[in-house]
Amino acid sequence: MRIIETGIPEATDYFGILWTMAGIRDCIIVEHGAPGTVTYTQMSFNSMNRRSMFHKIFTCAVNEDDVVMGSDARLKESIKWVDSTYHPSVIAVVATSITAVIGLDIDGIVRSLQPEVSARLIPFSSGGFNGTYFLGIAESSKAVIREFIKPGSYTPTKKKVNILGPTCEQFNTISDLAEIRRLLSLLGISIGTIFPDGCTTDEIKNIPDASLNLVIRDIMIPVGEEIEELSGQKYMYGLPIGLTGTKKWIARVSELLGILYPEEIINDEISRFGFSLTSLFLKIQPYDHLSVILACPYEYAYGLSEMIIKDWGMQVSAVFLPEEPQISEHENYKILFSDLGIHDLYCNPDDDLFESIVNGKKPQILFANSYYLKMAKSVQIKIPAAHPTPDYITMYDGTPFVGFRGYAYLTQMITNMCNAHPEVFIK
Amino acid sequence: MTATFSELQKFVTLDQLVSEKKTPDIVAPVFPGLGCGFFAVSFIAPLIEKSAAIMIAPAICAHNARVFMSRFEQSSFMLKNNLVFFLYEDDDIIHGAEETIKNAIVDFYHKQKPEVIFVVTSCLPEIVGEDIEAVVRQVRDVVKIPVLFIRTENFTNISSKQGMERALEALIELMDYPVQKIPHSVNIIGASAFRSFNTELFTVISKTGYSIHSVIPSHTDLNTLQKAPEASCNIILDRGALPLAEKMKEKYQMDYFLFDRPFSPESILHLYRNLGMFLSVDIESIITPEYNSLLQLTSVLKQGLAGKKAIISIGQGRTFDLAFLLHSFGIKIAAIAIDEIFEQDYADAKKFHSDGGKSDIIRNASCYPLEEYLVRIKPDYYITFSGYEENMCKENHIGYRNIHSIAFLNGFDFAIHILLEIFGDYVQTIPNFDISAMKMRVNA
Repeated sequence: MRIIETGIPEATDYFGILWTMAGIRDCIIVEHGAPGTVTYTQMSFNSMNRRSMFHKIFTCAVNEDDVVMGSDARLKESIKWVDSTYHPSVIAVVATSITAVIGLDIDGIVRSLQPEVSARLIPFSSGGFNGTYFLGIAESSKAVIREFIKPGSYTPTKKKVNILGPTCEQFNTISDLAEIRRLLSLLGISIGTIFPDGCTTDEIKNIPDASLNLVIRDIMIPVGEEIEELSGQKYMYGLPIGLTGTKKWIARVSELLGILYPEEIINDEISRFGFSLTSLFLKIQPYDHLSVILACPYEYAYGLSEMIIKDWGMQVSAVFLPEEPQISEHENYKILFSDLGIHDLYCNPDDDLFESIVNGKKPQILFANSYYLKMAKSVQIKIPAAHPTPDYITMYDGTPFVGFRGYAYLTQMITNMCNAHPEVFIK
Repeated sequence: MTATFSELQKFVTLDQLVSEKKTPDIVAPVFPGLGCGFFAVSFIAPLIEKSAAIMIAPAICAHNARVFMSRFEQSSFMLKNNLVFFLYEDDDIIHGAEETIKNAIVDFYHKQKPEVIFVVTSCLPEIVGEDIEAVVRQVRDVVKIPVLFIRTENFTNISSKQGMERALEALIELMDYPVQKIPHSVNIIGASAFRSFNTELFTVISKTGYSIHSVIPSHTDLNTLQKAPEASCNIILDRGALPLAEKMKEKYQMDYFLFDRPFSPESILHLYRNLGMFLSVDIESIITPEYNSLLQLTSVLKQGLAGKKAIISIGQGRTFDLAFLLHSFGIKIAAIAIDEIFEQDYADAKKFHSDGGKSDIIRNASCYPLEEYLVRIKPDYYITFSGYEENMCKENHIGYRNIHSIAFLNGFDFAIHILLEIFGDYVQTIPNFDISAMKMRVNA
């Protein structure tokens, strides 16, 4: 039993499954559990850019008899009703903690019911006990991929890529995807499927038609591997963050797609968006002593660290990751951070550890989720940069953290925020 | 994905409701449901100052409850988070967690020193069979503050009402036998008592010469709750507070009056008259200006709304009385979605029915292909308490009216604000009718 006093209890794999499956447009979720779970899951879903689960999720509303007798009648009735009423391509049948405890065999029920319904049924029986939401996203994404991509050899379209990664809870996805799309269009590259948020099952089937999968978060690497195994399609992992990071990302994409590195375009982009802090701050506003702590998923944490150190010339005094990164076994993330001079690295810290590190390091700047930002009372500049941020909307697509425009946006933001807190300039 | 109307889940007609007392079934599947007790407690407990609520739940419920609370922290409610989560995990299921919970509560008490602790269980520890009530008894022997136990197993009751009832009922354990009774004083009790100091009922009571002794559960701390039985009587704002009112009546001989929320001028006047009789004061002369304001508004609304159609899905106040009122404007009430139904609702439904009302009655908690239904009915007004349907209504050019923000009001003020919220567009077209003046007058 863990005790959470001030922060937020972590979202479990149950949420990862819901957030993934709710993003697939022709999928409906039928949950086996008490009805209140869906009421409040909808509320917590709504806290993410005010999205709605209306007609996307239903509960079979177990009652006392179902709990005592382990009855599956309401679940079967609910699945059939959703199938015949809404005709979705997929129905995700999701267990809650109650299901797991009463021992209802969701997998078996789905197997026996599948011949009676038109939709593909995909069971998720963990009940939220298997791990964090990252695991739920990865596992449900793999399950969908296995369901809709057939093994075989495909003839991919040149200069066409898919993007694997975005789910509804991912911080700033709308703006980041807009910037990635813009960067790719500069290279003449089109996007096939963006998986899973906002795609259809037909678009999932079309994934092998592209030449490359751009995996934008570490938890989707197993999905990229799964697709490679099924269709032979390669993937590339990473996010373009900062000037240095974006140039590297474009170079890798170009190389993998056999495109000439667009030197002239990059130079033009840097001249438009590559503001330097030296030019934005006054001489009497020293900033090289400023210390930053990052508490974000791996892609943001690494990319922002590189940007802060190499492009901004500030220091990163600690990095908190929500869990151990799932990057390739050939890349040791600790070494990658160490190469940047970052040695204080914490995975899945508890709230007490987070508070004690922040209090000890006394950073001026913190990139984190809303709960960490609230806990860090002494930090002057607080920048929302990770899920969950129920008090922060990111619906507008013009505030990217990635790409050249993301660099410009963040550089402008940090300049303005430092100006609003001039005490940070005191060394 | 479009649902067909033929799949519309079970509904009954107003005729059947009135003549047979038949109510629509709750059928699976359900969306969005009526909440659950765990979350009701996570809203009520933070209202009590210097308290802490220890929520024993799996991570799913705990995460949702924390996000839920965050929304209220950011709202005009300005709730202060006092929730502490004991995450009930697979090891606890296998090995049991009573001892761990006991020690953790005691540790928490020594660390944070709250004045009151609520210990709240969700479905899972209840299914597993943890005897948390016994744990609480043991903890009480160790810590020197009141520790209240609230059980909220959602599988025995599909709504949040269970949690409201139990959370409020538990407060009686904090109350002392009164050393003295304060004449002409009342407690106002109910989850919707939040911001009661700014409501019509508060103003009216103050004008009668009665004082407000306490407002429960908001604006309270341990000291206020201990002294609550000193008041002469209780005024109850919502049915979730009735079990507490009954217990206070039994234990402290305190009579109570249910001040529910009707909409029509005559119903509200009748309610106030009854309140006047209950308090043995003349209220009618006090509320005449408010009554006249509502009459003025309804007379305006009767001029130009005939032939319009509405669906009512509010789950707040006396829904059938609202249907009756809107019907008196010439509006056809195509459907009414209900949460629970009480004797007063049957009486209101009968009045509406006798007035020529004809409606489908559906369940708020139940799932039905609402979009198909709305497209078929094409109501001019979809009056709701929730935000789920907003986009769908906009896409189908249906007048979406969400009354959530005014749900804490009461009396004529409640009815006037709701009517202005629903028909504000229309009222603005009436020459010489000053909406802002009416709102300001009511607010004053």
